[in-house]
Amino acid sequence: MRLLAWMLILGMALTAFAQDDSLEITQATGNNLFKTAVENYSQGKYQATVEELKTLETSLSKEPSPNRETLGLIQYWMGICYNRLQDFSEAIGRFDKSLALDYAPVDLHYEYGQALFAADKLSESRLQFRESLKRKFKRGVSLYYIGFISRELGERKKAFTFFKAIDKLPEEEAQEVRQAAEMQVGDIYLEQVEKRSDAFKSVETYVIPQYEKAFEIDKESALAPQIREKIVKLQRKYDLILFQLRNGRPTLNPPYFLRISQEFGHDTNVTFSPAQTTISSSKQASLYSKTDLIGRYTFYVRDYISIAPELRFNNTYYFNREPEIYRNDNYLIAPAVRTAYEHTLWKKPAAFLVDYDFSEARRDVNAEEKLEFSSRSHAIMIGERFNYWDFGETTVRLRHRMLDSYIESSNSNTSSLVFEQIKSLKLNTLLFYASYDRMRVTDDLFDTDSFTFRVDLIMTRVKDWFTPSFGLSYTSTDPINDRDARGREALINPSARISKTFKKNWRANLKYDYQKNDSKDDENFAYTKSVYAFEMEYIF
Amino acid sequence: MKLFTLFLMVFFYQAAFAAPKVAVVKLVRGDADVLTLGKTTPLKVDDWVESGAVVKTHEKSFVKLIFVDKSQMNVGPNSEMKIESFSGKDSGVIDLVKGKIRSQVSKDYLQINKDKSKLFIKTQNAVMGVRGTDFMISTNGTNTSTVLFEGEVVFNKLEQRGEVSSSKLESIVDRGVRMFPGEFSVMEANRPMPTVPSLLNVQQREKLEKNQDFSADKGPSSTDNESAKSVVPAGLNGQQVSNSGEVLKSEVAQVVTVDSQTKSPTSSDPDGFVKGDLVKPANGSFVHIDSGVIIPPGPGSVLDANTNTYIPGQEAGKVGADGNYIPPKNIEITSDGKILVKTLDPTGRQLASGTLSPTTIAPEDKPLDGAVLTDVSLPGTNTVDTRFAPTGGFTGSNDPTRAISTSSDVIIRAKPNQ
Repeated sequence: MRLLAWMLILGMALTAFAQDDSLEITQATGNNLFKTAVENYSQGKYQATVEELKTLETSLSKEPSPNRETLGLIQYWMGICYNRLQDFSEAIGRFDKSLALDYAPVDLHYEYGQALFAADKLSESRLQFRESLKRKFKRGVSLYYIGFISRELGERKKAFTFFKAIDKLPEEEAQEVRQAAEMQVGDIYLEQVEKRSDAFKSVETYVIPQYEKAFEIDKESALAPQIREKIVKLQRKYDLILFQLRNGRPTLNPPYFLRISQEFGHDTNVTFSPAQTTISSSKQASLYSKTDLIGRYTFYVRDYISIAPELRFNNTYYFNREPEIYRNDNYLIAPAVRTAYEHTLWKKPAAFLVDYDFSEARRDVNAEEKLEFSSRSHAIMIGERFNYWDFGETTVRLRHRMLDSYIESSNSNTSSLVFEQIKSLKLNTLLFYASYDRMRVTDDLFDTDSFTFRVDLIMTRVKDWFTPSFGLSYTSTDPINDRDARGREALINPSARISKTFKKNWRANLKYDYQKNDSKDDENFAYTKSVYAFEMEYIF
Repeated sequence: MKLFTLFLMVFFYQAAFAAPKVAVVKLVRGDADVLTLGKTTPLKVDDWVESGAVVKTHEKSFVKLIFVDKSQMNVGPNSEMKIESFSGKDSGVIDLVKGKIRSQVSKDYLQINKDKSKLFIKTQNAVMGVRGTDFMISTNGTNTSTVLFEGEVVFNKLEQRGEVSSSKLESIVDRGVRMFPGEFSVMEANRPMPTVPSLLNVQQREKLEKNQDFSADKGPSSTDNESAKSVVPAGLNGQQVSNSGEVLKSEVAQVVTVDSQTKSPTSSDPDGFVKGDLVKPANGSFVHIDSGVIIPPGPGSVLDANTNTYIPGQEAGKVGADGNYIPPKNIEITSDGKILVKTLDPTGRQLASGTLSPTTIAPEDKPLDGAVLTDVSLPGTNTVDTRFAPTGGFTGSNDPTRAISTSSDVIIRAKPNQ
């Protein structure tokens, strides 16, 4: 009996609670649902958040007088969740409901505008961004959306006005969209002018400067390369800048080359050869410093001729202050002009080359710690660069050099025939060099005929860290009027180099160079030396 | 009498040396077997599985195991998992040969120091030390991907095959990456270390987390909206158009007191990067669970300030109801990680196909140099147009600056906003 009574009480209690639950949501349950929704939302569980909010919505709407504000919040919140879930049609519906409930937090129009924009309802979207602008929410971005949508709708003037209005906003609001807005203005200009017959003039006068203005705002931004690409594309399209020569060879970009390097090295046997007719080895080692600067700018005359003035300067200083060593201190100034006439040979790009080189060297020839004139030279070169083989370019040159030395008897004329070949391997590059040099000196005892062969192997980067290269050169010199004393001389010169590029412009090199010159005249011409050096380069 | 003695000896031998029973089968869907001491038997509910046993599931099959410590392990379809050890005295070791496991490890298991792993899960090329509770790990035998839902795991490359002691495994995972809830990491076959953990795409995470028993349909999710375009207008990026969400927070705070401890998962920099061996996919990337291919959010993605992840547009692909990534129509990702590109005519008919094979690892100082996607080989005269997703995570050879390849199978874009 007692058991039956207990069962009845329990049954009635359960029924009563069940009825309450189905009628309305309690404050506590509502709070818990909200809390769960907050927790889910904060973890990015947007679908789960929506489910919680739907439960709340259902419960609240069953109440006799549901709180409109809470209902509005639920709709607005669900709208945001659907936006994150990329379900824009649902989001639009929820934002609509929220507005119908007069619930419009400051960012609602912005989120609503985005949903409409993604759903391609552009006019409605623009209205929402206008509201967002009025409510001062993300004014820069809202203005951008309005301008962008106006452009999409073909309303260029409106678009222009809104993009330009961004400039009037306080800096902190305008800065994140200013560059993109200026780019859009450039796009509008382009749309307006590109159908004209003289489009190239307007593109050059208005469109490109506008893109450049946009680019200058932040050259490092993610958008900057896109703007740069637009400029280059227009320059190509309207032939505003020469990109390609007549034979298909691309022009140099940039047209300038400027390199500064500083080398510190150790020479195990400093040799003295101011007039390049004699060599005397000091048999002493010294540390040295060498600074080198080279600059060149290539001008294009129409699409087949290039003229490149060049200037080189270098200065060498020996730290061992023995007279035999420091008489090698020197500097050199060497301007040159290099010209190329581009044409085709065997239906492939080729160039006829004419170069003029001048150099003047000053050296401490008298070991008085004073740099004095040591030599001056003029050289004319004609050559042809062509692509006979598929694996790389070939260059053949004829060169004549006239050298005036500080010792008149050492003045010389040298005629050379040079052959250069590039061979591109799968990963590496080989460079071959061969030359025949015929030097005739005022004092004909020093006349020589020589052959030089050189091979360089430039390798690809190893482990993304450094680039090695190796060279081997052999020079055979025939002192035609002094064979008895000197015999046929042979210079062997292996070298190795490891380079590492830092950032974009810096490069560090570790270099090793070995030279061994064999001569019957041990005293004056034979020598052996090693040079170890560290060099830092900056290439502009 | 002799027979009786022999029987007693066999009985005691078995009792003394039989492998311990470590898990009980709670649910079997489809066909699944267990291989114990060279003998294969079909698995049934309430069967006990011993240490050393290999559990195999077949297509569309699934097994739920409850271990002696109350940890739950769900073995997905087409999977093979060996319980190397689960003694109760030391950290357990599971070898996942192929397939996927969803596991909820008991917090109290072994009462081990929280900085030590309670369980190790090995695959062909990776090992995970489990220090938390809820995670999923998947391997195709070459790549291994893992997603963490709750707790903490440590994850690293495993070069040594065969049985490895738990102390050795502990020292390996200690040198690996530490993952927090919501993050994923992929160990690719040819890379020296796993990807830096990144936050997974929020939709994928939510669906994977729900799909504990691998039972959800593979069909598209309910929020498919293929006609939608990107929220990000050309010229801006996902960070610029992002809404900080502060307004919603303050509106909600007026209705309910928000626990300040409730924090959204954040990973400081939502963008991806490549720095030497370190590869971090952008937050919000998808993972193709079966192959470990990472699909980064495209340039039209919006930064969700609430979760600090990018939300990609539909053109980058979708998430199925089961949580797996569904690529766009003209793309197929095979379970071995190949990305097949199909050229479709306007009606959706396939005209030609090819394979995207990103091949070069991007060097450090020019991180985008090596990103050239090539080798789109064709069986006909048609040219495969790889520009199928100009704003998505995939990139064709027309736009090499958008992609960074980390191996022949995985494409990662460094920054969604570039």
